[in-house]
Amino acid sequence: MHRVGRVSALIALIAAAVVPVAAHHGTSITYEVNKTITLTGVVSEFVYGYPHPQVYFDVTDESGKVQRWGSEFGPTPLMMRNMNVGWSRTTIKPGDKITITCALHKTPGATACLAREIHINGALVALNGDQAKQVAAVARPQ
Amino acid sequence: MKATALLALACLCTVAAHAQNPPATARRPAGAPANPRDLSGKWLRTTPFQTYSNVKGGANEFQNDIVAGRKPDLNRDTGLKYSEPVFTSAGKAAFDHNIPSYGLRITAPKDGNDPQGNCDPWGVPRMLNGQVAGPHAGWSILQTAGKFIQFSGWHHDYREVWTDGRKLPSLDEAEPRWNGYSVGHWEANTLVIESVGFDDRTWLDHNGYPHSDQMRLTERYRLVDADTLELTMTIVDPEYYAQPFESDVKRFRRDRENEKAFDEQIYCVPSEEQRFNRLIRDAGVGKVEK
Amino acid sequence: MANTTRRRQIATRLVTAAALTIAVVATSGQHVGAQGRGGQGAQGGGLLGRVGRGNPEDALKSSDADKRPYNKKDFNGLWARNPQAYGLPPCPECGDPGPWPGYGYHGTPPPRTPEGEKRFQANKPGRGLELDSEDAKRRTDLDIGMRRAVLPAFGNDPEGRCEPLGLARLIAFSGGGATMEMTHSQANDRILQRFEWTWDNREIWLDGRRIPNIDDYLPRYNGYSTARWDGDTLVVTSTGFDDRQWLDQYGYPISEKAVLEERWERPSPNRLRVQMTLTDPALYTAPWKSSVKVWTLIPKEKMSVSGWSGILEDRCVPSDESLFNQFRDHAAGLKK
Repeated sequence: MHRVGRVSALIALIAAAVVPVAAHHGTSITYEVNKTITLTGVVSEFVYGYPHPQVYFDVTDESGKVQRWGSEFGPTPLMMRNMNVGWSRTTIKPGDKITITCALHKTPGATACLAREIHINGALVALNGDQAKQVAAVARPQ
Repeated sequence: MKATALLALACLCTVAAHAQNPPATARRPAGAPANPRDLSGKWLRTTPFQTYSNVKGGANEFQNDIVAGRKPDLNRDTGLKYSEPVFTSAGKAAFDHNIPSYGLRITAPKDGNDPQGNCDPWGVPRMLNGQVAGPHAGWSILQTAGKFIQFSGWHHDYREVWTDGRKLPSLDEAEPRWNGYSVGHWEANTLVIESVGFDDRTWLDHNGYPHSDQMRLTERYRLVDADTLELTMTIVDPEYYAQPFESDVKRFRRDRENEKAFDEQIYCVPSEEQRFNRLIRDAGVGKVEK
Repeated sequence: MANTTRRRQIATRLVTAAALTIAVVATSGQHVGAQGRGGQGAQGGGLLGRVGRGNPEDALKSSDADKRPYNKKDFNGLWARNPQAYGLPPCPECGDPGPWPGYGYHGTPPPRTPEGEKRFQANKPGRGLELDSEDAKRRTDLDIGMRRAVLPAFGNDPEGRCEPLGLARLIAFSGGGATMEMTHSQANDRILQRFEWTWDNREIWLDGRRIPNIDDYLPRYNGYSTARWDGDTLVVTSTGFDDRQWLDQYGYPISEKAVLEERWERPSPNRLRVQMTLTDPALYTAPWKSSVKVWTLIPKEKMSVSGWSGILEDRCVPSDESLFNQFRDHAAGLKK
């Protein structure tokens, strides 16, 4: 993949992901714009609803302590349907393994974040049109 | 990744200003409307201001600077023309009391006091501006003899405009309503709606511009062509605004693809909203909550 | 000024709540709780049939003496079930069968599945005969759903938190004054129904569409409705119900995959009636027909407040309600 092409695609991706988010619920001011964290855990709940979809998951640290995290998505279910990214209520299920990269909440110590990229049981699930293309590219037979 | 992120941030400012507008696809010119007095349909805003009027910060044009922690240059050329209302001292106090999560005074919702966070109704005119620039949550009009009903997707709300020739009620007798009381009449092919009787708990818009319960709102709708609706508004509210407060000229495009879609029923469900606020918005911290 | 008006509104409701709470404590068998603008409202109904076993044919006897020609398929208008409140002749068939407990889905509830029973027990209504009261024990002609009310402060009726009521409950209505308005679109592709209490609305599509696959959409409070004409009867089919709603104020549950059929007709110029059939095999072992609900046409001049006619913006607003509930809960002895 050409780096230059990916950069412009990513700009569009980030703009598309961020601006609708900024358009309501004050999401853009709540999270660090460029401070992300990548977490791995087990899904406890997926709320495919309003105001924004949320996934809750348990992260176990090295000492065995469990923390429950919650991540919201920028778009609403209808936006996701209109973006044709293939989501439904059952895209994520309790018990699924989740690896998520998300923008941190500005409150120190908060266990809430804004999803940027989600992998469920090892597979990318698209949060926007550009990620949907990535998913399709992987699925396409070689 | 870093270089990409920097480039992304640098470009967001210009992309953001236009992102509220749908991409300019090649669309055939719409032509004259079949019936210039039929405003039925689903409408999505294409003009940039999400605020009642073209106030600074009303198009999210400085948002990216603010959220990145940079002090925005409020005098830079954004390509937008601005106009600010003239507050009375009571109006300024009300404005200062409102702590929004949008615009120049953007504050994290948990530290703000936007009534929408409690599932209070948006009211009018906020429901006409607030969320209509996305692929969802536009507003739509159902027009029949004697009335015109306007639905806001977000919060599953509606307001009723009577075109049966009745007069507006007297404010002494009529209790304030979240969406006020509205009557409409045609002046040539412009629908003129006049409204009074607003509950003063609502905000005019996302940026927290206030109104008193004495506000009189006039809206003017006309079809520019079959697929374009234009709206301008005037507020007369001497308690809060020293002069009539004019809106910008707002335009909406017809959302043909979703014209007949099932209503998504985006209720603001208090328990759902409160749970979201508790666990996500207000930073649920570390507890494993059942 | 608005503040005075709001304080007056809240004060009125607090007084009502206090009166009702005291009444419940002091007497048994009273109608527990009646939040909502109409208060107790006019129950109507006379002594037609017995609640839960009301003879559906009674509701089909029309008291409408109007013999003018009319369009049977035109449902446009303001409709209410307590016409005497608007200065119109009473409509005995407009009330639910029996003098009270009042509005509800009614008909004969079929036995519930284990899942249905579990959800039914989890719902704790604040309306009906008070749980374990003498009247509740005596009235075995009523289904248990109507004989298990607790003080709203101890219940979990979603209405008390301003959650959406859901379709069947909006139609059956949960308090006094079941005013609603029907509006046909000019294109005749849909009918809009608006409900005064909670200022809700729903669309009935007439364009022949299918119900969507709920897994592609989301279950929503009013479900998704499509309709066709069967002669002069409008047959509406809906599914995809958010299962947080209650079927009616007595706390019967409804599941997402339930199919609700409504049969609407306008048998005379001033009457509109509906009978619903709920098919919900996840929760009920048989289809369940509601009682027939009858509305009277209210000329808009008769439905006027301060010269303004039409349905009122009678919302349930959380910030109003939480103040009300604080008093309610305090009065019920809950420490807050």
